[in-house]
Amino acid sequence: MRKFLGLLLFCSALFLSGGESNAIRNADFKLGHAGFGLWRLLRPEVNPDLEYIPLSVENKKLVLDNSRGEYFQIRSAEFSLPENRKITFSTSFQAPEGVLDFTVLHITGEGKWITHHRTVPTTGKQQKFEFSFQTGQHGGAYMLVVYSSAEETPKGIFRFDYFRIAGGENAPEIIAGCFVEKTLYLLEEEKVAKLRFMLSSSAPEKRSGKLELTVRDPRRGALLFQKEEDVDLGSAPMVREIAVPLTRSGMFVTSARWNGKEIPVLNGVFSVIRKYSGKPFIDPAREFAVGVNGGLGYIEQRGKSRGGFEANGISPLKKYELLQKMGCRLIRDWDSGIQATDWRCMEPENGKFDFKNFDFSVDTARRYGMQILPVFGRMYENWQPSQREFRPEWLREKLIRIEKNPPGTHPKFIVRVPPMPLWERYIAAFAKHAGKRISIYEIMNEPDLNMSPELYLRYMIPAAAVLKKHAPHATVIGICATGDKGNQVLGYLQECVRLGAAKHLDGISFHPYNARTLNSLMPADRQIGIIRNMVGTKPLYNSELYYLFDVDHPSNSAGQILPQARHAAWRFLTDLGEGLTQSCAIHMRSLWNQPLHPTCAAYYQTDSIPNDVFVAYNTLARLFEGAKAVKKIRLPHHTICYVYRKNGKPIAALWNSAEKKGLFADLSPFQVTDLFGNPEKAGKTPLSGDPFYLTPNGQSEAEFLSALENLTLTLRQPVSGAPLARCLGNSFFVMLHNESDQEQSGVIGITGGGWTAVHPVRFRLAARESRSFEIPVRTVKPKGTGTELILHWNGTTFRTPIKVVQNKQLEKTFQMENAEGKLEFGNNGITLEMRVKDSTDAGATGTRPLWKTDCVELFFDTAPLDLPLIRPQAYTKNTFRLFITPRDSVKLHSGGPVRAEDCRLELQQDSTGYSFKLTIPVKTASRLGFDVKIDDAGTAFRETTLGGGRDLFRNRTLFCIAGKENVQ
Amino acid sequence: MKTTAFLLLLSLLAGFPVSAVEITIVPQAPWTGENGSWSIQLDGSESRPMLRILPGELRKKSYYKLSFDAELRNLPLTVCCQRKSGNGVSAAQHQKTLRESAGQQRFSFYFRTGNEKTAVFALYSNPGETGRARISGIRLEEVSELGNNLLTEGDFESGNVLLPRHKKFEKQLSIVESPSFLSGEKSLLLKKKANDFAAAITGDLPALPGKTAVIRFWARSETGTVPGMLYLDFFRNGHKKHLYRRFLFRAEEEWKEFTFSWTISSDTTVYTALTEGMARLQFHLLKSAEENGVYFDNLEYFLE
Repeated sequence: MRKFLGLLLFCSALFLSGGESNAIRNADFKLGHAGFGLWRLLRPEVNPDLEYIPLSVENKKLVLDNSRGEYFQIRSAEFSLPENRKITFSTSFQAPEGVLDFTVLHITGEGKWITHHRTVPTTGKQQKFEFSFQTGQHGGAYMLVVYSSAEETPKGIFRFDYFRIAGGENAPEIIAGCFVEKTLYLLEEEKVAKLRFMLSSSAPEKRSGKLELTVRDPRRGALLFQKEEDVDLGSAPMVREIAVPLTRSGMFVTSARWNGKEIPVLNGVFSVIRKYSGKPFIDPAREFAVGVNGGLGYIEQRGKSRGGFEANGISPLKKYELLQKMGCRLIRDWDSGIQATDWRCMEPENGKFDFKNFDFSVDTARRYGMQILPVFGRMYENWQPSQREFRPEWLREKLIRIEKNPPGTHPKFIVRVPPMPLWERYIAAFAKHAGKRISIYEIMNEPDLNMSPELYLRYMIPAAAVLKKHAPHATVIGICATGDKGNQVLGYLQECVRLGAAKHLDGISFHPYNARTLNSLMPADRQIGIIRNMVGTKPLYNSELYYLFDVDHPSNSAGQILPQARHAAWRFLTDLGEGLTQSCAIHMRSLWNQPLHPTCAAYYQTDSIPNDVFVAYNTLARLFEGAKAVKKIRLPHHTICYVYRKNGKPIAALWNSAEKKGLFADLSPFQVTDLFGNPEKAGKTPLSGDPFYLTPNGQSEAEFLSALENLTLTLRQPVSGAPLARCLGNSFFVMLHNESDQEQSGVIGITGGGWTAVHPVRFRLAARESRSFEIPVRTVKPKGTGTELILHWNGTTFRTPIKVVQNKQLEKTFQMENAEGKLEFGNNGITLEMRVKDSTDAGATGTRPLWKTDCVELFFDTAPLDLPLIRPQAYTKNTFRLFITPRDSVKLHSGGPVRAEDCRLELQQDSTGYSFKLTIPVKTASRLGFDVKIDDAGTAFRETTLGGGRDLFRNRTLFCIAGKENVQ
Repeated sequence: MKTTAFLLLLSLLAGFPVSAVEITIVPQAPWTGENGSWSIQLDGSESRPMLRILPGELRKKSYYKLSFDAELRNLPLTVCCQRKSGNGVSAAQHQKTLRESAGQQRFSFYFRTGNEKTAVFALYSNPGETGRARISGIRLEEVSELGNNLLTEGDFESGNVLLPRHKKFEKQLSIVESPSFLSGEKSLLLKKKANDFAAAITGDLPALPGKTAVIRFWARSETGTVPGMLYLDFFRNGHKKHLYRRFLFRAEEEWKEFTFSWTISSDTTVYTALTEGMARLQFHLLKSAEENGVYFDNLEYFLE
């Protein structure tokens, strides 16, 4: 009888709930508004204090107060939908008269938006609505977005009874919500974080189980709070008020297990920092401080688009308050709505200036202890419909079109420059009005993407002069060459310096996207060193680097915008350690956690919950603001130690730039904190990519430096494989490095990424020996995991993710689209014979770079299977280039350790092209890395390569490999 | 019905010094043959139809490897070598396949000739069996070099070298997707039940008195540590004193390589079975309270 009643109850519940599944979590708001976020545009004309009213739940309804008629988007937590399924969305609501839009959204791994959308007229009365759609091939994480597409967003109160996504997977039966009283705590001032933890079951009958609740720092693994409880869960949610003792700084996440299984916890993320007490005023043009790119996020209303200040879960003013607590002192006014320098806003009519936007932007920052770094001038037209014109309408007809984009600039850009007097007047007006509120200006952002150095200087020099005249106190920086979008920084910068740019500027800015870390193909410190050699003592500024770490797919900007704490610390500490005057790298959107929709976090900023990057910057601000570089110490195993001095006291930062596993450092001589400023127990400490900050433990500065220089490092894994394998036919070539002083032996294999070793391969390496090994491989069905080198040593298995580069195996003779050749090598050197079809004579090279004329670029690598542990792609001492320019009187040029004058070239030209025989006196082994790029600068510039593609000039592992059959 | 004759001309296979032997295949109904592939389907009748493999002249006191690809569906095959002397027929050597293969698998069996120059090899199933088998790629090779790995299918990629030690372990032994071994896609999983042991065994392997047998293999447990025992077992029917050697190993959650070696006794008067020149390897998971399993891969056996 009891069973029957239970069944009856279950059926009734199914009937009442429509018997349908629901993928949306907390869709009936039992857990309050947990699982839903609100993004708004705050309109200053109706909301001058920029008040942000969050979502609430009243009488089991989700309530949005939009009495000011501001544009909004309600966004749900991510939920999962299967592919090829009919899905039905339904809701019941009451909304002010107008329209309401419902979008079920999926963003693919390639960044493509898949939307299922309906617009519903709203009546002011209770309404129900549903629509169905097919997921097609797109399974995975989805989110619901509710907004109004009406030109005038309806004013009033919106009430939602439920949201339902039926036909897919069901939301888990037991879920939790966790409301944190605050998202940011100050460790010195607050002893506990107050959490309201709620647990809810969607089952019709009572559920009993064991709840394990933890609050921990997921990055460092530190546990802040843990509790176990036996729970009987009925139809009403269980509520617990919890006071979590604050004992350390970091970002903390609440997680829960129900009967041993992880359950979703909506919200429950907060950060703890330490009190930043910087000076009331610092000059970011001279004192190193924490700075970010961004702004208040003011979007101008135009056409059908809405205007207002972006409010991602909090008011933009609150966001600035958080930045102040973090220790931010500089905001480079870029990529966040309308800039302070926006010409269109500032000079809406010819000669009539309006500084309202500028004043609000600058003064708000100052109110929170920060200064704006304005960036002047953008000379190209919009090239995306979403971009907003930044120059006034009246100026359009006066702009002068630059007809031909200089080499190396993006063909998309259409450059139009203003008449010089108007340009000077605009900058003068700005500088005069800003007065001493601004102490640093930058002239143009990344001009190398669209302007020649000559054109840039034509506009930079007068702008600098105007700024010097009207703001003589201010520092003027410029050039701002970027390594983004395939650019290389150095060439453009060098040309600007050659043309005399440096004498007009107080500092040189650059965007090191092609040299992000000490381990990048172009290491960050090497690039800075080269720039310093070009510009002498001129101060250097890193004014933007949104993407702090290297990824395999550089176009994956979405993934790169989400750095981790160590990435932020690396760049700050490197720039400070290398003597830069200022580093203002990331965009402020990288500072916030998006727990609602981690998959879409790079695209949607619904919340502004400080994340671990925020906590890391807080620590950097407290410990390193105003510090100066003292020494750089390179330790074994790619361990780096920068020593600085702040307020007369030394402080060091220590990390392993190769992120090597199993490395330990004896830190017992020092006082140690982690990258969040938590004291660490000094001793034999695992050393990773997370920096430690070290201060003397009673030593003098000299003793401190000596202890750092003699730091003892031990390695758990004495043999490591390079993170790259070259694939030639059915073999992988990997290189093993024995970093110990003993002979080592073991076994290696390959798995993942669609490859497997045919059999394990044994190795034996002498002390400190590095050697390449051939592993026979075969292809297998990929399982979604990357390729790994498995190394078995002394009973332990180590796995190294490796990048596989498939190389073309070269025969003795080779064919190209416009050439043919014969390559031989051996003890007597390398002999190359080639015949190139090029009937259009491009003339002598003149001032052109060699690769911009008729040229054969030759790439050689006499040890192609040598693969260092870091940057295996980078050129080595065994890599060299030669250039043959057939139209010049001097036809052979060198780029690398082999000198042109040591080689012998015989070249003949005829009406169809040219042929040559080149002899190079270098020793080779049984394999030779070799590639060719032919530049034909005839009527249309054409490049052809033998096998390696366009990155040959910086990636030697792309070269073809010639084998024993080419040996003479 | 006498059908196709195969001439196997491979003299060297993957660096393995073997000499291929010319063979003739003679199927006995209901065995049928086509394009080098031989099939049988049995309905439980009491007959014992044979697929006879007739080699030419063989070398005396030599090792031979009979290998073939088999797809077995509920039909274990007995592999028999019947040596012939001038006076008639001497003792037969028998070995068995699995009852059920994982798709098509390669099996290898070692036999040793005596003083005779001829032998007959045969594949058959015991009377009363119901199932089917398809055999192809039959090859007979003389194995003169014993210093290379003799467990050629020990990577479990295309074949198998381990059979259940007892019928009760049949369902506890399977070739599965490898849990990230250093090479290949497949490993062998031997499961053990709670409060029981489990064991798998190889076929006959060459073993010469006075030589050192080296056994090398990789193992990892499903969970925790699983103690196991490897037996190098010289048991042969009809001999009194049983010689074997045990080696303890502990499988853990990471792959570990184990290497054991033992110099085979030369005392053929006490251990008379040694005169037959054969041994088997047994892998035991020791009895314990917990259910568990051990993956095996890259089994190697050779004589030094």
